[in-house]
Amino acid sequence: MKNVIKAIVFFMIFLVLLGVSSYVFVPKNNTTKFGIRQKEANGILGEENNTIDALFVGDSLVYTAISPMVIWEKYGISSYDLSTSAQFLYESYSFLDKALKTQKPKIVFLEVNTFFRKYKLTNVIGAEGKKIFPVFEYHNRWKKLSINDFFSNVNYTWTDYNKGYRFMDKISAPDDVNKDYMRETKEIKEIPKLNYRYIKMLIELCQSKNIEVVLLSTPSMKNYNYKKYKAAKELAKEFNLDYLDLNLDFKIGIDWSIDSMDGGDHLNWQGALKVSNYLGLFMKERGLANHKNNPKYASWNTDLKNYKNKNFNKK
Amino acid sequence: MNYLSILYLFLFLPLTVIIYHIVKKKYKWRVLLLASYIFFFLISGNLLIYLLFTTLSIHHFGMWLEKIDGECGKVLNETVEDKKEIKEQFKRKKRKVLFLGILIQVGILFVYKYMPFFTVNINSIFNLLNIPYQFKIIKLLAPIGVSFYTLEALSYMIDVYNKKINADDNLGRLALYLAFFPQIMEGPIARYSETAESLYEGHKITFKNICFGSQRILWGILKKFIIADRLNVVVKAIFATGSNYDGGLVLLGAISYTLMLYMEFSGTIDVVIGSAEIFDVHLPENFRQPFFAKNISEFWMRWHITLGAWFKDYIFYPVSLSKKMKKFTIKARKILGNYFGPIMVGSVALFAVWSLNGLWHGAGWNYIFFGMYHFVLIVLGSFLEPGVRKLCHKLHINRDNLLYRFMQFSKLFILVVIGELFFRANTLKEGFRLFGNIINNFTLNSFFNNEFLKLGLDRADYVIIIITLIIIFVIGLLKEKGVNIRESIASKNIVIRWVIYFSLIMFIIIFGAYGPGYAPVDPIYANF
Repeated sequence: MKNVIKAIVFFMIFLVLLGVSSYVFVPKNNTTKFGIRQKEANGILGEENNTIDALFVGDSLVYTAISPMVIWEKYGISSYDLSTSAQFLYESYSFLDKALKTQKPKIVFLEVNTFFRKYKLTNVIGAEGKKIFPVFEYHNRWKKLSINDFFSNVNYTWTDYNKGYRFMDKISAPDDVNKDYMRETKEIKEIPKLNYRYIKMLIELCQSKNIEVVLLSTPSMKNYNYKKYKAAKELAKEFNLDYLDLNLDFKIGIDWSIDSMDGGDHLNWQGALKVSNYLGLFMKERGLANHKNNPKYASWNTDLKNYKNKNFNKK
Repeated sequence: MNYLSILYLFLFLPLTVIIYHIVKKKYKWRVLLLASYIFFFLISGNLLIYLLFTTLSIHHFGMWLEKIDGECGKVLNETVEDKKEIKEQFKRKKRKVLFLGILIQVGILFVYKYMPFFTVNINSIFNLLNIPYQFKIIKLLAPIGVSFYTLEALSYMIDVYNKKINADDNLGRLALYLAFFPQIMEGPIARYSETAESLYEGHKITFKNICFGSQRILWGILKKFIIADRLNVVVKAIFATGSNYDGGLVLLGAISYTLMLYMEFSGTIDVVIGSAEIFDVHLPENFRQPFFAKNISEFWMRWHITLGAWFKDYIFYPVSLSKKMKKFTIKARKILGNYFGPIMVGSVALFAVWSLNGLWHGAGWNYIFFGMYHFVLIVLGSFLEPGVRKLCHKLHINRDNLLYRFMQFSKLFILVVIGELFFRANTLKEGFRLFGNIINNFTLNSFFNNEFLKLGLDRADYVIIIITLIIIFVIGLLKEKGVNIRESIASKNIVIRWVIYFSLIMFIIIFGAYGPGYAPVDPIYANF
């Protein structure tokens, strides 16, 4: 019995130490200087509460294909790319969950490519551990700790004028047309069980807050095929959601000779322009408000100026 | 799943410990065996069948050998004349059976590990000789740990043959000896007499065992997470395009690899031994402060001890004590004297040991070179020893003084680093190119103009590596002086003990090389 108590006390002290060290190591602001990771997606933490009306969740196909500033300029709709490189669904869930604590969007778009990226339960456990005790995520900040880290609280103030989008102006056409790209087949891409669980959780999270979920496939010759399209279509049917596929059904059309930055894998800004305009119109038709003249959104117009100046005039 | 994964440390091991603790004593070994097979299945899948086959095979051969002994005894009891001849007859039969048993095990190992290497080389010879035939190169996925459990299987059969142990009629006990999950991937290579009974009898899990086992695991994690995983960044950079770097940086890469290999392997072994300790099973040690050795020969008695001991018992002695070699020794003594004669003969056995040692690590010329390199160094060391001793005596040099010991350490370290450079190189040719770079293009400029910081580690990383190495060195020094550190910590009061434990845990969590920017080393020895 004595040993059991000892073990429990040992464990409690350990938890306290993890808690204390997490307090010290967690970045105190959402900028690189403060050590935050995935700065662009975490930029949403600095946005004023309840100002974002649409969120795009997914991997790099999102932050290269959807420019919220293009949407803002044309339709005055406020949106944000909650996207990170090679995002896993448990990360998608974590980002969305965090964002929904301060934002009340009307629509959440889930980019489908993420649905097929495999991961293991241990990855999820590790990620959950990092969420509870950020010291596991940010321990390497020991190299840059300052006295403030020991005493100040977290206060996110930074906002991204790109709103999570990453501007790419390189043009690189595919060497060859991918023969598998959207070629009709009877096969259907399997969604791993653990992924399915998280898709369901993501949808339920949104539905519990009365947010509409739309499935989305942005154009990518390298990443999309008919099998994935079919799987997404079935999912949309199962959960009664809209599915916007911009590979097969994209009316505006992508010109792969000029719209890709890396041979058909990701879009460049010209491709993003087409996709963003399309999504803007879609949201307008869904009744999302135009905030262009709303004083609460004054900073968005400044961000638009920065977006143009810093991205297009950088050379 | 490897021994330093979350899955093993926080799920597989604790779950096995709990179930082992709950079940009745007579079922405990079954829990370990089942856990071992699940573990093996998780890392090697259907290749588990080979482990099962090896188990059945050595069980059968053990019983067969013992049966022959039984028959021999019976016949000897019934006959009066010519007992020697009868004994010889049975011995010959036993030898044939043993040979067959060994052939099967070595055959499997050969097919899985060496066939591609030998077919490539035979094809090259055919090419040279203009023979218009090429063998198809078949590469098979080897079961993880095959090199380790095969050696255990061989030692079991040979020990039964030599009557050092009785053949085990209990298939479960033998199966567990071969498959025990903490050992199966990277050793230590235990003998049947060392672990089989202890694994089988079932022990009570005590608080002390959990504490001591966990401490040992923690120590292993520290070595791996803080040093090995950190140095991996440099090693990968240098060995990927080593010839692009100057000699100073290549040397940094070779030193980093040597330290990384030591920390990764000995760290994993700490986790392995600690895991077994929780079940009150004491596995043989595999490392004993190798860099405290005085020469290469002693180094190999302190590094991968169980492999060295295996080669000593099953290759070196049988070769050097064979009838032919005994005759050769007598002749050599006459010609070369009592010191150099036996060394000369021993060298032949050592040649066999080091050829096999090199090959055991992998099918590649760089591994064979690695073995030959150490063979030459060890033989050279033995031949030069009397001369060095005399010289030191004449010059009144005390071989125990600190400066001499430091010189010895430096020499040893350099020799080991050179060996490991070839060991790590992708091919023998690449090894020579890297070595040539160190010799011909040596400069320390990269350290003055901070070029070395472009390899992926910053100054703070190097500082933490050095601090941790100092901690490990001091602990090693205390062990060399005979201090039992774990017992002495255990004897301290709870506050001091817990401060030490928590410091160690938080040290690993904060300074561990995990997360973005680092790439953990894959278990190196699991591939051998």
